[in-house]
Amino acid sequence: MLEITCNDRLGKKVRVKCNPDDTIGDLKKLIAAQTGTRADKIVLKKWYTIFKDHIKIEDYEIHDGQNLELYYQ
Amino acid sequence: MTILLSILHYKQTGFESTTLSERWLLYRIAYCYWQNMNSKSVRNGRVFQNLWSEWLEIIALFAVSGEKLAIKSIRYATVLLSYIPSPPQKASGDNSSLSIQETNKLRAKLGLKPLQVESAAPSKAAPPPKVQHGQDEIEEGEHVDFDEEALMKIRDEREQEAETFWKEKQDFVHAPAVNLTEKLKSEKLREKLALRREKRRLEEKLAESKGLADSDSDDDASAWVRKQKEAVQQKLLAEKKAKELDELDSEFGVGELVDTEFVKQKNKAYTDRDLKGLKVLHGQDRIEEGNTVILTLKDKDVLNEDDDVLVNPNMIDDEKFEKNLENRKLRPEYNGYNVFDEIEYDSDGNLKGKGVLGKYDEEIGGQLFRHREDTSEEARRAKIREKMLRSDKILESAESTSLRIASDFFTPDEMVKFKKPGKKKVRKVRKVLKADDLLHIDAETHPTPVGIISQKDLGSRKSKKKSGAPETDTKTEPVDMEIDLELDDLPPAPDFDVSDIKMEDEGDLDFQVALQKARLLKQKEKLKKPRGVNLEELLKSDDNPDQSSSGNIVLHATAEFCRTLGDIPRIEGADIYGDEEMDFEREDKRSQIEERGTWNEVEIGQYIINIIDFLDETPVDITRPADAEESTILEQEPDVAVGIAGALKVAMTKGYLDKDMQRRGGPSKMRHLQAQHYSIEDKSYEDDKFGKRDDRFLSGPIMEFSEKNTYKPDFKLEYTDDDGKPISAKEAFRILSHKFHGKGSGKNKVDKKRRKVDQEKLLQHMNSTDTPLNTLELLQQRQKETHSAYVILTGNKTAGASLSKSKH
Repeated sequence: MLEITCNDRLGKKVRVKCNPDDTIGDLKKLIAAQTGTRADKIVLKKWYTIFKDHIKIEDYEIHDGQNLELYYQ
Repeated sequence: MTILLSILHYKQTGFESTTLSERWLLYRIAYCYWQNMNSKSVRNGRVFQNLWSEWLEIIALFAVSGEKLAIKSIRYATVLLSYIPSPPQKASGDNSSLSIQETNKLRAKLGLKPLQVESAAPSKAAPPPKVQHGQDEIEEGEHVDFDEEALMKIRDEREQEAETFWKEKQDFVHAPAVNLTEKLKSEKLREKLALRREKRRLEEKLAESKGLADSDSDDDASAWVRKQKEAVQQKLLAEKKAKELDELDSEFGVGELVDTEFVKQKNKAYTDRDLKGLKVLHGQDRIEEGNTVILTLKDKDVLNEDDDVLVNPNMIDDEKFEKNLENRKLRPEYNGYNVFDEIEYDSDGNLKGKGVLGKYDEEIGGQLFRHREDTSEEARRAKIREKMLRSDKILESAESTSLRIASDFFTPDEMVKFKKPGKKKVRKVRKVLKADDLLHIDAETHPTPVGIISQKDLGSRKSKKKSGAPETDTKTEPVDMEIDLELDDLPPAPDFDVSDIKMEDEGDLDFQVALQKARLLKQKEKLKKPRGVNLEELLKSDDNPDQSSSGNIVLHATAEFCRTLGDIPRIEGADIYGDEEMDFEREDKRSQIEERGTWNEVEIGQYIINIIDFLDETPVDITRPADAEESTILEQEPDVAVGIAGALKVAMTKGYLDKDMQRRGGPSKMRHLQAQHYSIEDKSYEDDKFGKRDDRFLSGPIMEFSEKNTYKPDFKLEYTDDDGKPISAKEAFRILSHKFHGKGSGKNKVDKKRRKVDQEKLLQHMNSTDTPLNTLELLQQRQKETHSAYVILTGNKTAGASLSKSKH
């Protein structure tokens, strides 16, 4: 179980608990549930790397406590 | 909550004494309150923590009570407690993180697996017995000390309970989500399979039938014959069978029924008999023998009760076409007069007479309308004849145009027609000069011997002409008009002396004329030239002032004046202009010229030019503008001798005087003469312009100062350039406009202006008495050097030397 922090830099900062074998899409759903936006509107990035929905979190080597950038499309 | 507590505290000691109903009420209130508290904000806040402690107190109290009825409530309470979520584990400020429980709930909602918590393993086994244990404990109503530690323990237990509870409840695996890609793949595959199946089926079908190129198994004739036989046999069989069936039918009496049916059908059929008596629009001749023609009913109106008519559309078109053809024939394209068109024969063989307007005859409604009033031929012809006679035209009947065979050549009769009525053409016939002719001539004029040739008309073409006149026989016939004299035909030149014979030739006339013209021109030129000669003479005379015979000193005002200037050397007894040489008329002229008062005339260098000038001039007009020869580079200067006005003008043009000094005291001096009560009204303002202004009190006094009534200043606005140069108001405004609009003139304009300014400067600094190149000064210097009044412009230097006078 990881806890990932997603920061909007506009005031929204969420900490989401998830499994490493969850996909990014699931993570986005969790974020959406917490922040109140729509899951398909969320874009998770880390510097110019956009995380794709169908890839697992562990495959992106995202570990516990990492920060992800939260954008919207 | 405080209410509850207050109530409880109020009845602290006697909690047991609180009635059941009261307690029940408390419970209810608490429950409601807890429900409200269920929102996150309350749960996660600090308030909750405080409440939590209160809760614990209450529960503890209830637990303590130990009554049976209370047990129910306690159970209720514990259940409630189990529903109460644990306080936030991390006491952090942010409210954007969910606990594991919440996360798991969320995940369940979303259809995801619950969180894999590594540390959850040991706590799994523990909770179930603990729960029981906990309940038993309570049920048994044991004394539980509600000190902090116990409370904490209880809380932990509850928490774990909750987790395991949830885990148990959710101890199933969700169905994996539908993989869209897989689904798509499978669908595609299915489609492909279906297609393949269809194709296979079709191919099988096709394979059954034989292709055209396939070789027949029965190439032999025998095989074919066999086939035919079989076919026939099959037919026979079929017939047999049909017969049998019929027999059967007839046996059963069905055959009659069938027959009647057939008959009925027959009757219903529409046969030829029904068509008897129908009209056909086309003629019999159209339908050829042996051909079958399909006829259809002609269209007619619905309400038309006429009989039906049969037509064939093709035949209709044919008829139309033929009609059009005929119509076209009536209006022929005019390709020229074709005689044979006029002749037309009727169907009987008679000539068809159409008349002139035949082509406008129209077939309207089946009747032929002819466009003539009087159809009688005779009357028409009579009319026409009358017309022709009246207009003096030559009547020619069309019948008179006789036909004749065409030929390429004109007959002699026609040639006669071409003869033009004799145009007397006086043609110079250059006859071949023959000795015989000469003899002939001589013999005519005077009887001189043969060898001697009279001087009169030898070789003279004129005489020849005369001689040629009587000889009409030599005149050309109309046929031989075009005989030209050729060089070859000329005889060799006569041997006699032709030199002293004056040849008069007509062709020379032009030449003579041209010569005359040239001579005249030359004379004119010569006329012009003598001037120069005179000039030289004059100059010579001028050089010798001693030649003045009069001995008188003639003073001219201008000359004296100029002498004072110092330009003209004082020569005693000298008369600059050499009066004695001139005529009286010329003197007058000169005086007039002097009165003109040009400075140029007086100066030594210039008077050469002036002499030329006054030689040319007529004494009439003083104010005549300068000749081209005078062509001074500077403009005419105002006459200084006129008076002070002239002098002033001169001074002004030269710039000796300041122009500003003119305008001193302009308007102010005349103010007493100006109109006193004159004012210019501005009638262009709006009606309410000044009334609406609200700055009536803001602006100062509008009326002028009464004490300053007599103050009438005279002002002069001077404008200066950026460089400090004084400029006109126009220029100033221009500069202001540039500043206002933020853009000035372009490069070209600025350059032009600058150039103009520079030119003006140059003009100011220009030499007013001389040309810009100081030619005058140079001339004067040269004259001083050479001690001669003239300057030779062209020629070699030696020529000048011969003319210079000796030094003295």
